[in-house]
Amino acid sequence: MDKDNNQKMYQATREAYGEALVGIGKENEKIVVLDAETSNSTYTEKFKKEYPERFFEMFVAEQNMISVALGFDKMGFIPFVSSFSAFLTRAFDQVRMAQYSNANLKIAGSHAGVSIGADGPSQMGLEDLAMMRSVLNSVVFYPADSYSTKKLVKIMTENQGIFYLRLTREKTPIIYDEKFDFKIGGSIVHHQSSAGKFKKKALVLTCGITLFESLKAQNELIDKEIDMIVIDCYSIKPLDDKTIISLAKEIKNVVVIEDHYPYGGLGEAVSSLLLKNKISLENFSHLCVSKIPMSGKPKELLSYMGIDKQSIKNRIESFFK
Amino acid sequence: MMNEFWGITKKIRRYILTSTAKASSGHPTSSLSAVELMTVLFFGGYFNDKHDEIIFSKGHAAPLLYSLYVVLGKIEEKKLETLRQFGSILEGHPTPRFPYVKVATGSLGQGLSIGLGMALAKRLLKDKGKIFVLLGDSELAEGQVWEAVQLSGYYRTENLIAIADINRLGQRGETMLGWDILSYQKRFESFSWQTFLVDGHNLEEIKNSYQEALLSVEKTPKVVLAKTVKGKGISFLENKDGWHGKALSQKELEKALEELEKNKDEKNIGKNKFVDHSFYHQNQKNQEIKNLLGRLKGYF
Repeated sequence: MDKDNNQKMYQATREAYGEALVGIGKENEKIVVLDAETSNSTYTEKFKKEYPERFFEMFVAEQNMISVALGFDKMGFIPFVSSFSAFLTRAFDQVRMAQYSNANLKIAGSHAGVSIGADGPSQMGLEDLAMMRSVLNSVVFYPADSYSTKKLVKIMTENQGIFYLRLTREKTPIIYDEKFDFKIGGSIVHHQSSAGKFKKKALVLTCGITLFESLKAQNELIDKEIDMIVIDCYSIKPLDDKTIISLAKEIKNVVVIEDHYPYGGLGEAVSSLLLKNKISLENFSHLCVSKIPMSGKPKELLSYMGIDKQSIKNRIESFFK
Repeated sequence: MMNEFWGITKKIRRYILTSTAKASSGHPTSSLSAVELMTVLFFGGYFNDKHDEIIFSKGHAAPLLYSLYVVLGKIEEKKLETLRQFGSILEGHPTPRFPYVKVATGSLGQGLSIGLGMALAKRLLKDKGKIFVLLGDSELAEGQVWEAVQLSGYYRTENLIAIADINRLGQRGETMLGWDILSYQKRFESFSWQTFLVDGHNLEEIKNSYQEALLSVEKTPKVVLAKTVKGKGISFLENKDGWHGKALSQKELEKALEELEKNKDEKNIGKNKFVDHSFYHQNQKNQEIKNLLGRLKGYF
């Protein structure tokens, strides 16, 4: 964990994942951890250090890893498997088949999105949400901070089924604590109380790394007399239908922001929810990765893709021109 | 014992042919090639469903799997008539809707990895049970199979026993290696597996190989590489192209069952006109040459 100049705490969600595994591994002897030779990136090495007999190095063979995990599951263990989210896509058939075996599989994909930066497009998971959402009864989480990651790992342990946890490479501020409640199908709404009186209102739905871009935009839009309400949709599947519908009904200017391709991620999940519930809007925008990415600094890439603070501000201001 | 096996193989062949014909679809020929391999495993005391696991990685041999459980008395013979029908627990490829199956198979190449996971889990549980995995030869072209072979070699999962049904024919014709069992042997051995070569229709040989594999003190995974004939037991199906995933018509079924009934000679099924045994001799010769070279090395 790191501190910045303002004593704000930072930790990457992938590191929180590793720490969370150590915690649940202590409570539950049925937890086993498998990793495709990325344990120093996913921080599963923390678990390996504490419980070496329950850590299994799968080397760089992701397809085998998913099926091996299914074997562990069927012998009564709770397997957590991890690699880069980009590389898990090659094991989709194994996940697809696991659903027909009523699998209890916990999959974590780290280094998601263009925000990984310098390593370039081959290392960026930009289809993983689409892939994992498409499994019929799956649950998909994309936590923004360390605290929520740890809570969600606990939920994954306590519930049966195929779970996907999307993790970020970058260190992010720790914004949640025990005052916040996390659950399957939950969300966290971020208001600025001083902005409540403004007539111009916008609703932003986001998750993971882009939550922080949204919160920065929210703060700066106060000067423009715009009340921007942000929902952290950490539970992408199932969504927090009730909260989203009630706020969208009221606000009618909606922007979805995500570090993922346009197809099959949070944007399409939200559009489908709003349409099914016949919510009519005045404005709807989906800011996401819609160009082929390249290497660069995380900041540069978020800006190039139009999913950074400035892009969000511009889009929302355009609603009121 | 052999007589008893022989009777069971006949019964199972009848079940496979009849159930797929009734369903008008399915993979009778891919099931027929592994009848002896599975009969000896299930009824020779090698597989114990209380302690052991069996995975049909070649999920299309489902009619064989269901037939075995009929003989075991776990499901009624009449149930076979529902094969592949809506609502039946006997699906086209096995799923856990069939209560004696833990994992769904049918997407080729995944069974050995699942078996490896179970083998590692059993080791962790200090459970002495074995994991058997029936592999087809077509699926040995899947990269994932070799990921599993390699990793099992690394973890030395001595409780994992693969049984490879090398029937030479895939969906549209010959597999990459055909009946080149020695190449399969080399590949498995290069990943530290112990291999056993058998004529996959010779009950005695199969029995011996299972015994050897289970008694082996080597801390390695084992594979029984069985040279088999697709469509075995029915002359007009044996080793013929164009019969993959095809059920018999009523007329063909009658002909096949008649042939099956007429065949009273147990030895006929053991002896296989398509499988020559030269590979054993070849293998033995290779071993002798290796030994000789090894000794010569000592001199220089």
